Amino acid sequence: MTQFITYLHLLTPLHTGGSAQEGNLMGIAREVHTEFPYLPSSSLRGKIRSVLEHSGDEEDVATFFGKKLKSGQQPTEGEVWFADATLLFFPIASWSHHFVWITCPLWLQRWNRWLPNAPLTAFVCDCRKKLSGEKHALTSLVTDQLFLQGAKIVADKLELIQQGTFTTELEKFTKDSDEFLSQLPTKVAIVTDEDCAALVETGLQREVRVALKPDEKIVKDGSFRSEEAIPPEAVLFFPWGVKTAKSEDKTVKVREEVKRLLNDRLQFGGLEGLGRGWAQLKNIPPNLEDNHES
Amino acid sequence: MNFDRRRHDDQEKSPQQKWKEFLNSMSKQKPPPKIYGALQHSKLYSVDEKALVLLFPSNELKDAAQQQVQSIITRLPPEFKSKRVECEVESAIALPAAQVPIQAAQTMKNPKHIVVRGPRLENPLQSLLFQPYGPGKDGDDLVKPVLDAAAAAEKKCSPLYKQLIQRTHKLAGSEENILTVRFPWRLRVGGLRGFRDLLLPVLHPVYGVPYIPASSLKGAARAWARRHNQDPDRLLGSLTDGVARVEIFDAFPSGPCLSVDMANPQWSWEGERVKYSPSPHALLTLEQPELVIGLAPTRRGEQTDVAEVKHWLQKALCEGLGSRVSAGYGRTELKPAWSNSKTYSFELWTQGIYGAVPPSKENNWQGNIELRPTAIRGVLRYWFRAAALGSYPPQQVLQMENEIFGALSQEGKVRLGMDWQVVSTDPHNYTGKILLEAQDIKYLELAQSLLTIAVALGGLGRGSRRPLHWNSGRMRGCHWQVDEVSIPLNLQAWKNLFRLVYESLLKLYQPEGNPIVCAPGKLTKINGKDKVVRYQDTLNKDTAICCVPSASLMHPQKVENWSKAGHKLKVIGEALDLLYSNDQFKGEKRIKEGDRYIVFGNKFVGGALEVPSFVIIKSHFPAEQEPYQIVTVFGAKHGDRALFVKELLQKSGAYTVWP
Repeated sequence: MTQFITYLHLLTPLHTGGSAQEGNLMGIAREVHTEFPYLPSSSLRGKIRSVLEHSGDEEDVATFFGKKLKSGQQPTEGEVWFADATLLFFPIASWSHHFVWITCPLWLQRWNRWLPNAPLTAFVCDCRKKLSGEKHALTSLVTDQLFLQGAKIVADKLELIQQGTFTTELEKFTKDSDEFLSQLPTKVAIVTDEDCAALVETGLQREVRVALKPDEKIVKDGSFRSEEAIPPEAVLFFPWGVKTAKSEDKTVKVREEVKRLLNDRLQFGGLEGLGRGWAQLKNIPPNLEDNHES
Repeated sequence: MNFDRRRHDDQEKSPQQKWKEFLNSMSKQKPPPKIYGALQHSKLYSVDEKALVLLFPSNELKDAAQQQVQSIITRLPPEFKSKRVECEVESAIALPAAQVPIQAAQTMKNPKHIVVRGPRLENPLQSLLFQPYGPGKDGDDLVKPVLDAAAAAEKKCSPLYKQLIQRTHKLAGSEENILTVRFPWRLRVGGLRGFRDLLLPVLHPVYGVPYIPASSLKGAARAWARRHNQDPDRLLGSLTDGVARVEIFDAFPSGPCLSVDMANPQWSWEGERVKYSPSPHALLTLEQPELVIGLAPTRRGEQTDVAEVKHWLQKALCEGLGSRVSAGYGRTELKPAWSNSKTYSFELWTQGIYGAVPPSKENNWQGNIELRPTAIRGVLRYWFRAAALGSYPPQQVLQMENEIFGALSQEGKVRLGMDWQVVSTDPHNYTGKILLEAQDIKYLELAQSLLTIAVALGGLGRGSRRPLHWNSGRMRGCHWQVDEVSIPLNLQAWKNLFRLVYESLLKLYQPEGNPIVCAPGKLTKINGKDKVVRYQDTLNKDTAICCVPSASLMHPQKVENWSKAGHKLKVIGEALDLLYSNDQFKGEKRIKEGDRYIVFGNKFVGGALEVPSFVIIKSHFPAEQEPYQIVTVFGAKHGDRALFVKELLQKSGAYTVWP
C-alpha cells in the first residue's frame, strides 16, 4: 500500500454543507470530538470521483473507487481510500502583521502521524512544553509583539521558531506555490490547542445574507441568515492511499489521473454559485527524498 | 528579469528621474506655478494610469500637498496623468528589512510602474478595532480618527490587491470572464463586521480590505434579470432549478480606495417642525473604486451562460449597487435605469463643497474639496419641504418626503445621479450632468420642478445662499446654472414657475389639512444663553421673493482677479450690496477685542454661525437680457427683514414675484 499526503490551499472560502443549523446560522461540517471545521472524506472522495467519471473511463473509475450498489449488483471494494481533510494552518487577521497563519500542537501531531518517519515528534513535544510554560506563541516572525485578532502577545511571551524539521516540512508544500502561500513559512504562529480553537471560532468567515423583497429595501420574511465558511488562505491536509490492485493494468490510468488531479485546482463543498470552495492541491508522495517523480 | 530591468532603466530615464526634471522645469518658470510650492520636496514613488503616488519628507508637507490634489491633477504633464494623486510620508513607507513582504522583492511586469520599496501591508479592519477613539468636545468619543486610521492602512495594500486580482483572473480562467467596472464617485456595500457596523462597508475577515461579496453581485444580477423578464434561476440556480450554471466570485477593488465619507443631514424633523441641526456622521465608503469581477461556468454551465450573466451584471451595476443608490452612490454610469428620466447639463462655480474634511482651524481652513451628488439631493429636499409646508400639514409633508426621497428600508420614488468634471480650482468650477429618474412620470415631473425652483432661487452646497463673491480674503458663495433651466426676467415666467411646483405636488397628493405658519427662526434660551433656533424655510405668504435688476452684474466666468474685483458691486450685485451695506442687515460677525467679543451685523437677517441666513440671493444671466438677482426673504414680516425688503424694492426696477 502506498500512502500520500495532499495539501489543500483554499483560494476562496470553503463552505462544507452544514451539520449544525442553529437559528439562522448556516453552520459547516465540524469534527464531533474537537468541533474544528473540516472537509469530510466523503465530500472529498465524491468530488474526486465525479471529476474522474467525467473525464475518464467510467468502468475503470468504478473499479478504482469501488462499484456502487445498483440494480441488484453487489458493491465492490475499491482500491483507494481518503481520510478527512483537517485544518493545518488557519489565517488570522493581525493588526501588526496583516494576517498570520496559526496552528497548534494538536494539528501538528495529526500531521506528523502521516509524515514518513514522524519527523516532528520531538518538535511537537517541545512546542507543548514551551506553550504550557512561559510562552504564548512560537512564531517564525521576527517581532517584539504579535497581534492575533483581539489578542496581543508581547515579546517575552514569544519565541522564534528555529530552522529544523518543522521548517523543512513547511518548505515541501509551500515552495513554488502562489504568492500567498509562499509567505506561510515566514508568517506562522504556533499557539496552544485551546487558543487555536478560540481563534478559529472568531476567524471563521461569516457572511450575512439577506434576500430583499422585489422593489423594496425590506428583507423578505425570514430570509436573513449568516453563512459560515473556512476563510481563504487556510491550509488543510488529507492522507490518502492506494491499495495494491488485483489487476493493476486496469486502473493504471486512473491512478495517474488521480495524482494529476491532486496537484490541480478543485472545487469542494457547497455554494459553488458564489465561487466557494476553490482549492489549490499539492500532493506529496511518501518518500519525496528518494523519489523525485512529483 | 532583474538584468532586463536595469538595462531598460539605463536606456530610458526612469519615471523618478522624469519627475525630478518636471519639478526642475517648474522651478525655472517665472513665477513658478502655484503647485510647485506644494510639490518641490516631493519624490515620485510610483505611477500608473490609476494613481500617482508621491512621497514627502514630513507630515506637514504631505498635508499641504494633499490639500491641492485637485489642482495638481489638472496641471500634471501627460506622462504623469493619472486618475488619483496619493500623498504619503516617506518614513511611513520605509520599513525595517525584516518586515519587507515577499511581494516587494518581485519585479513588476509593467515597466512604467517602478516600485522603490514595497509598503508594509496593514490591515484596515484591524485598524478599526485597535485605533483609539478621538476625544470629543463634550467628553464623547470621536469616531473619525478610527476611520482615518483604517483608510490610511488600506492605502498600503496595493500589493495585496494586485495578488487578489491575479487570483480572480486565475479562477475566472479567461479574460472574457472578467468584468471590470469603475464607479465614478463612491460605493458602499454594507457589512456587519467591525464596530458601528451599519456605517462600514464589508471588510474581508482575513485580508482586512473592502470587497464586494459574490452574493451581493449575484443578487443584483438576479434582480435585474427578473425585472427585465429573463429567467435568472436557470443560470444562477435556485432550490428547484438546482445548482447554478455560472459562478460569481467575491470581487476586490484593483487598488486602494477606502475613504472617509460624511453623511451630514442639515435639517431634521422634530414633531411638527423641521429644525436646522447639522449632524455629521463619518463613515467609510469606497471612493472611485474599480472592481474586478470574476465569473466562470460551473460544471453544468457553458461559456454562453457566462456571457449572459456578465451582461445582466453589467446592466445591474449601471443601475446601482449597495446602499444610498438614490443619492448617487454605487452607480457605474449615468444611464437612466427607470422608465422616466431627464438629464440636465450644469455648470457650477463654488467656494468649495467638502466631504469628510471640511475647512477647520486644525487644517488651516483647507479642507478636501469634493463635489457630491448628495448636495443636489439635499437642495431638492430642502425646496420640496419649503414648497410643501406652504400647502400641506407638517405630518403629511413628512410622509410625502419619506415617500419621494426614501427613508430607512424604504426605496424613494425619485433617484438621482451625477457625473462631473473639474474645470478649474480657482474658484472651484465644475461642469457635469444631473440625472433625475422615477418609475412614475408624475414623480419625475415633481423632481424636475423642484430642480427648477432650486436653480432659480439658490445655489448648491456651501454658500448656496449667496452669489459667488470675495469676502474678507476668502471666496464665498456659489453660482449654479443648468442649461435646461433658464428663467427670463419676466413676472409671468416666475408666476408660472411657482404654479408648476404646486401643480406637480397636487397631482400626487391632496392636502389632508391646513398648513401651519411659523416663524423661520426664534430666539430661545439654551443653557442660559440666547440662541437662535432656525426652522425650515417655507414658501408661504410670509415669504417675499423680489426680482432686482442688476444691469452691470458680471458673470463669475468674466471675473479675472477675484481678490481685487470680487467684492465690487458688479460682482456682488445690487441685492448683496444692500445686504452688506448696512449693519442692520448683514450676517452676524464676532470680533474679539481684548477679552470680550464685539458683535456686528444682524443674525435675524443675514444669519450667523450655525444660523443659515434668512435671505437667499441668486444671480441670473439670461441670454440676451439684462442680468438680475432674485432675493428670497423668509419670514419677511419680521421688522428688520421687512425693512430689508422695503429698501430692496426701492432699487430701480425691482418688483415682487412672490407672493
